[in-house]
Amino acid sequence: MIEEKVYSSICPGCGLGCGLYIREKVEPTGDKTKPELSVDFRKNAPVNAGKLCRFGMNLPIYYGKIPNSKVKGKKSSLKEAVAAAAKALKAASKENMAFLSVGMSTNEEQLAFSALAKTFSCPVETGMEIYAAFPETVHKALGYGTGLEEIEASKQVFLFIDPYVSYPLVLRRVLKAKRKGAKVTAVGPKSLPLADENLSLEPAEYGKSLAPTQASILLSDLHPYSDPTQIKAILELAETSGAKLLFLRPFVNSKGATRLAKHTKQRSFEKLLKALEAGEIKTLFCLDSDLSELSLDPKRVKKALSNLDTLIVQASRSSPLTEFADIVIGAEPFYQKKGSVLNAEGRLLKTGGDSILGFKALAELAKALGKEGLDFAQVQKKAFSSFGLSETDEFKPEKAKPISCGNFELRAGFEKKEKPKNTKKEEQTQKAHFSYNFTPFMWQGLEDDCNFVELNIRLVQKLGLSKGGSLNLKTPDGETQMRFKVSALAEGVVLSEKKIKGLVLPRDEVELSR
Amino acid sequence: MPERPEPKAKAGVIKVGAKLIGWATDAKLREKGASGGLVTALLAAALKKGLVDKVLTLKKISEFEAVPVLTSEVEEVLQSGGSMHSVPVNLARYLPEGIGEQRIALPAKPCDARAVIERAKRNAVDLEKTFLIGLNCGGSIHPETTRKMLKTVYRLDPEEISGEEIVKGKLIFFTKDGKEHAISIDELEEKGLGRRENCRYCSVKIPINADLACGNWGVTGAFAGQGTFVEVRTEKGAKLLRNALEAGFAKVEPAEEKGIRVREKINRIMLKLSEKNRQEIFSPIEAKQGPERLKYFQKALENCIHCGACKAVCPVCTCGEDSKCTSYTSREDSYKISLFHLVRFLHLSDSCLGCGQCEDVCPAEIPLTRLYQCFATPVREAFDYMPGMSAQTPPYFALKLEKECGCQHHGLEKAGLEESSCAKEPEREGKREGQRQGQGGCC
Repeated sequence: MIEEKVYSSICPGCGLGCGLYIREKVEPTGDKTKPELSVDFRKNAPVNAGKLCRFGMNLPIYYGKIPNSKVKGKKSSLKEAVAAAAKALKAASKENMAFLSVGMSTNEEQLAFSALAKTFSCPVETGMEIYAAFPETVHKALGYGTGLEEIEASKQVFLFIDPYVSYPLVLRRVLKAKRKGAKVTAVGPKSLPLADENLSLEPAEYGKSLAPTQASILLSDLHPYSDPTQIKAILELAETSGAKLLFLRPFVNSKGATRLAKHTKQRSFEKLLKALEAGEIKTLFCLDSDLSELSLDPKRVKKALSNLDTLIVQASRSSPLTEFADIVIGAEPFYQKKGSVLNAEGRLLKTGGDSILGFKALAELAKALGKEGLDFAQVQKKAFSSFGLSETDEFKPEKAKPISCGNFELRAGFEKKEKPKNTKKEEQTQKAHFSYNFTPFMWQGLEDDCNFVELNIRLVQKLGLSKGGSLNLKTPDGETQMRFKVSALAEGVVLSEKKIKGLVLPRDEVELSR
Repeated sequence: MPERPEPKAKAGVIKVGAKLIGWATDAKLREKGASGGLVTALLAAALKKGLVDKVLTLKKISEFEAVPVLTSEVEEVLQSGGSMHSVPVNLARYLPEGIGEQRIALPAKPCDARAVIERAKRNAVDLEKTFLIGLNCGGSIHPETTRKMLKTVYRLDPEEISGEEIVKGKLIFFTKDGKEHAISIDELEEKGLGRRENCRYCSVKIPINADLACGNWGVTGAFAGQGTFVEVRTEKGAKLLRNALEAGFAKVEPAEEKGIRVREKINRIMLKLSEKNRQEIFSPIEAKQGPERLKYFQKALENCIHCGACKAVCPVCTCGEDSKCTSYTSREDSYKISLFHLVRFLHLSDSCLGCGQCEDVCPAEIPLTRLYQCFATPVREAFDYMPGMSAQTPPYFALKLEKECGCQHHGLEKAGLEESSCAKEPEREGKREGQRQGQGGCC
């Protein structure tokens, strides 16, 4: 008889944590380690009312990549992998170690990982160096959340994200606000159908061009590649107007991981990569964080990782990193985990499963390194209390708080380097400002059909591109052929959802030709 | 619950066409299940006595949430049941795919039963092995709406709700302190709350397409609130009922004439209201023609993010992932209107039930059911064919079309995407009338 188990879980695709069911079916004679999975709609979920985006709908593919525990390239048991990791960690020098977890694990795992890192006096890296750009007095405001319901109740919505491609479950809330009479202003290079006005503005222009009020809400996102100048401008706009502010987050537990981490000691992925290249890190332990997926240059990551003495990976799904790690601790998939995450709104959500395999592996490692007694219930309690909460409650997001940062400057080294706008016109070659239409590392592990860039019709005409053809995109790091799509974009802009080597911040300049 | 008289009816009265009042023999089940717990008793008895191998039912999580489960455990079936107007799922999609050996029983709202029948036409379900216990349905409510109306209209904390019921046009919530809170559905719907839009214009309230049609309409006198009116629609239905009686799980009484009349009257009133709602919703769209109509669809679909949820949830779509519509979901395309939906509008024009599942799961809040019905309704009217009401295939598949008639375009004309081109309109109308009377012929 076919056995079916239904998990009431959440989507790990982004920091919203949409509610859903995962149905796990095992045929009587089938392999129990490879169940047939399907996704089902949980209409009572307050975050998304059962609605899912493209990523959520494709979760069976994402979860289909089950990692095997491995030691030195050979398949092993979980126990053997944990023992090998303990041995490698004991032999490692604490001066040359790094622990990375960006927020794809539960709060409980994150704290156990922190306890393990602490035995080496190391912080857990989240890639959120952006915190270091701001004075500590601002950190609290960066962590504020508020319920998506606030969007519906707003009179004016300012979008600094494109909800058609990033955090799509925000789209319905904005549409509902609009139906109730709210005005929608989209700030960015692309014209959005739902917006009443579309403005392509530089952060320095926000103050004079945008006029939110206390009845407005500003929607942006905060991720490891966020532009500090833009975030500063949005914070100032919220503070001067009294508007509500919601920063969306790219990973399911971005917010939890960030709150549980020490903000001031964070490095960017680029700095981590440079430290790997310089041989300053010799042992790297990644918890559900694949640097090659997070980076814009997977080849460079692979090469840099070859400088390591030991790469330890604890993963809930297989990825490029699990292929070349020395030790892989294969944990349970996310939907099977028992634990919690803190979503972007500040709702403390249950992950839905009943397994603590991943947590136990980390507790076992911590014990081997001298940190005894990591009990799941106690660790959970500690995590909840650090959020000021006592239990999970999906129906309670954080209440919006007024932004009060006072006057501040970005710390040295984080100011935006303005690049001159292109005015030179050449036949069949055009320079354009490149921007991501999408947090480029959201929705990891899912191949999507985004191998194209977006241009406006005038740029297509200038380049003489033919319908159905492709273009040549030249970046400081090389050239690549890409297909293109005509979109309603501002002049001189090229947008992409695909990660492109060498292009990090918005308004990097690229050269386009036929 | 009052003591019940020994029923006069025996298993012999159970035959196709019989109209009865039934209830569960188990007092706890009568209390837990809606209207005397008959449906739960029928499902449990079918499993217990081996009439079916499995039961597809809703496992209750909370007052606003239940998960469809396929079970062979009688106890699990007994735990299910009760009024669940805030759980708008269509169960047909949860039946095992394909023609198998398993016999399965399920409770089915009219749209569930219609979807099962449509799936059977596509060989995705074996109707002979599927036992449909139909449930009258006046509509369901999205749980997000339920929570909103509880907070804003009833002024109640959703966590304090212990049960709900719809009686005489009122939605009644029971709170944990034992109190009842009733508000008329009309009042709720005036506030933009209440039933899902598709339920407001649904034209099947009594599931006469199921093996049994059960509900609380027509349950009068001492049985009011304590029994279920059941109409035996098929021999399979009679088997289900006889089985429950023989297993000692249920008892029945012949329904009183008065009850039968009351049931028919309620149905008539509900259908009339549905028709009124249908006119209100669709007349403004039908009034749009040509470019204006195209613009309406273009605007309505502009927020589609091509997530594919509407197709995945559709209970009558059995095409799988690699189908005609999915050829048009590339994000690289920059069409001014979603070709994915245009293909589906046509593909589902003979089978869309208006069950509302697509709209429920749409992350862009597109009124999809309304849009799909804009194409399905003209086809239904043109061919006098209602999908999911019988195993009959659509008449335009069963019959050869006359070449010169042009009637294959009739649906498109009605949908407003094609100018009327049929010169033989009176002749065609005559043939349609003939078909209604069972004389065959062209559409």
